[in-house]
Amino acid sequence: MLIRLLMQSAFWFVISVAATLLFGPQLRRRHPLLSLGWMTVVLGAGSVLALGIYGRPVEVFAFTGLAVFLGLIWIGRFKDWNALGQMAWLTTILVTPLFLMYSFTVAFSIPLPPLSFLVIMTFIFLQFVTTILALTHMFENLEVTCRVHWPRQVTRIQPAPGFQPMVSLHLPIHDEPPEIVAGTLRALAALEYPDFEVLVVDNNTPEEKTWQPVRELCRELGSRYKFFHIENWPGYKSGALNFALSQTDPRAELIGVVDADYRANPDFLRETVPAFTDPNLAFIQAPQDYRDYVPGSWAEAIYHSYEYFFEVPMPVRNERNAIIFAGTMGLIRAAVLREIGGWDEWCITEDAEASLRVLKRGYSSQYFHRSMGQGLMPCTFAGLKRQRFRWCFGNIQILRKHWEALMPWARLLDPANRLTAAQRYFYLAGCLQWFSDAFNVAFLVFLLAGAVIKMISADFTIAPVTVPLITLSAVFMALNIWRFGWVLRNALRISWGLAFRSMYGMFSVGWVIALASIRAVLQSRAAFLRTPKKMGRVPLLNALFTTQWEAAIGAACLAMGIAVLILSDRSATTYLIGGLLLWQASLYLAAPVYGLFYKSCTE
Amino acid sequence: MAELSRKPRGSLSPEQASFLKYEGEDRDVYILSDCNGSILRVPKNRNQAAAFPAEDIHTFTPAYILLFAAFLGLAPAGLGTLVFAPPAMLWALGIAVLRRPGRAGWIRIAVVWTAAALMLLAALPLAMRFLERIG
Repeated sequence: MLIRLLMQSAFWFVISVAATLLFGPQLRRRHPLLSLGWMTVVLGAGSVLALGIYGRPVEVFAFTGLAVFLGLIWIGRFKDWNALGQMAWLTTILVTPLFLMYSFTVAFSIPLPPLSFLVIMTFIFLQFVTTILALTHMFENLEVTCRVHWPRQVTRIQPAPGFQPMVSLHLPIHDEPPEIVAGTLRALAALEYPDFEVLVVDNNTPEEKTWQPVRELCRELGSRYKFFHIENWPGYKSGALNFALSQTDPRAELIGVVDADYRANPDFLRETVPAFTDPNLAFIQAPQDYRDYVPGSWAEAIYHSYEYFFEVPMPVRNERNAIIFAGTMGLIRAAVLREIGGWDEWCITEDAEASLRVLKRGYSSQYFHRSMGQGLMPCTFAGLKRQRFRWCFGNIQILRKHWEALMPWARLLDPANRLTAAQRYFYLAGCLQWFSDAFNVAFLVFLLAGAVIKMISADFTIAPVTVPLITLSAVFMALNIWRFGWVLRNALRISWGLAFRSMYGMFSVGWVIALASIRAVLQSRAAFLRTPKKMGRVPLLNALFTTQWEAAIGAACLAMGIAVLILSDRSATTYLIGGLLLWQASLYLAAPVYGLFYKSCTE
Repeated sequence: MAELSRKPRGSLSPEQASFLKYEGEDRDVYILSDCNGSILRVPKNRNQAAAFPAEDIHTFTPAYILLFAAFLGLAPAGLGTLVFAPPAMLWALGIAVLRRPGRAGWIRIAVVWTAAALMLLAALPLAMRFLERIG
């Protein structure tokens, strides 16, 4: 029976997801009748198919009845989505547990030698965890493309005449090229806002010739600019920001963080400050944006991979008041920052960590969905890897520190914790998603082992193998890849080619993210790896050296994939293993390719 | 001995500000030295956040680590769970017996026990099946 239910739900899933991928973003209307109509079509078509193949009308109708019941709940609960998105999500949450249950049942019931049983159970465990993570991504992707109504989205804030509180802009710098900082300071000088100060905190820059020009420029720019050179300072960027907080003008009500390379738009403060007329608003965040890529270059693909976070998870989180403070191009209420005790100097993504503590106190946040300034991307692929390492490590630090506050029983432990269920979910999912790449590495180990076993024809199984499982795995994977490219294309409004290259841009840093996530579990502290803004010695050898591990793993996958396809029997399992290995090879080999061709810092 | 001065917030002169060296800090102030070697005490001007990781290990940390290991232990047919979940429960029991847990403590004990029990429940049939295959 399980297999029949699985296949019936798989029919629904394939119909609804394919339709969503084809037409989801175009359907900009929502209406309960439209939803009911589409539900009837999807469930009806899938059920007729199941009836035709399996018969068993009672079973088919009973399961359809359950699906209709859940669909009605879903349509009522997600009124702001279009019908296609609602059905795609409904069928996803129906097919997923059935797929996992079937996979488990097969593994549990087939006769296997003990070692094979242990390995297969580990595979199922991995499958279970990664499927949950994939669901979190799927939800965000569907919401961002199929949500029709965005009540909390803001791209322009009503001006508030007379409301011009003082803003203190904090610019932490460490060993930054003075010419880049100069551009940032001059851009701030052009801000169309009457009352602000700029505190430049240069921490631990070893060479005086690097920071003296910045100090001179601060003098030139006038009394609202204050320059601090601090040595031997602990706490990296957060330490510098905390020092800046101690030196902030007591009249300043808002604090803005600006990274050393960001050119703020003249209207940055004028456009964002009025949001603080809401007394409960603690911080506002504009997207991080970049200016140093040439259209058509590899850097453009990386640019869009950066854009992903601010075009997909952030708008989705914003609808639940669950965004992160991303540091630069954000403003936070000074009193709230002092109330929470400033920036955490232990965590290397101090901005995101602070936002969780702010939300925990019941304050609100706002995502301002319009670029308010542009910075520089890392100059080289090595810099990109360092940055991703820091982001991943820092987010898992947040999880280590706050996991209890994100649990369903959090409020029982701490009645002062005012995080809503949605906020807890999005912070938890946001942190856990960083483990996806580590799980991908674990799957790769299984794949390689499977390939070896296949080639030597050993009597050993490492994953449950049945025709439905192989077919469904292949279909799910194809839909997942399509879905990823689809969301990039639609959310970022780019061509399929660019979406594809951006997708590979994200995959190219998978290995470093996997390493960072494992290290963050094992060790609690890490150095703040600053993103270099100076072009180092890049070319060939350096690029290959930077990506030697990815290149080696990719080459191994490629060789094994080809070997298994040539040397093994012509079975569905062979094609699945071979195909997956070639796919994995492409993910890992993306790193040396980007290492060679990615180059930013056009200025 | 350098002069010790108590400067109010924001009153560092531009000359002082352009070269400061960290000498230490306590709960409320930074202790800095300037280019003349004068020691300055600069108020932090913010609340004290709870330190993390805490100086002393949280009473429940070992139980949580064991629980996490028990979760991962589900992968090899639940064998790891059989190893790690009981000590997690014992640790929590130890806290219940030997210390006087407050409300939060009792909730944590309940969480550890419930999670460990659920994991054991899931792990037992898997481990039994594994043993069957060995035997």
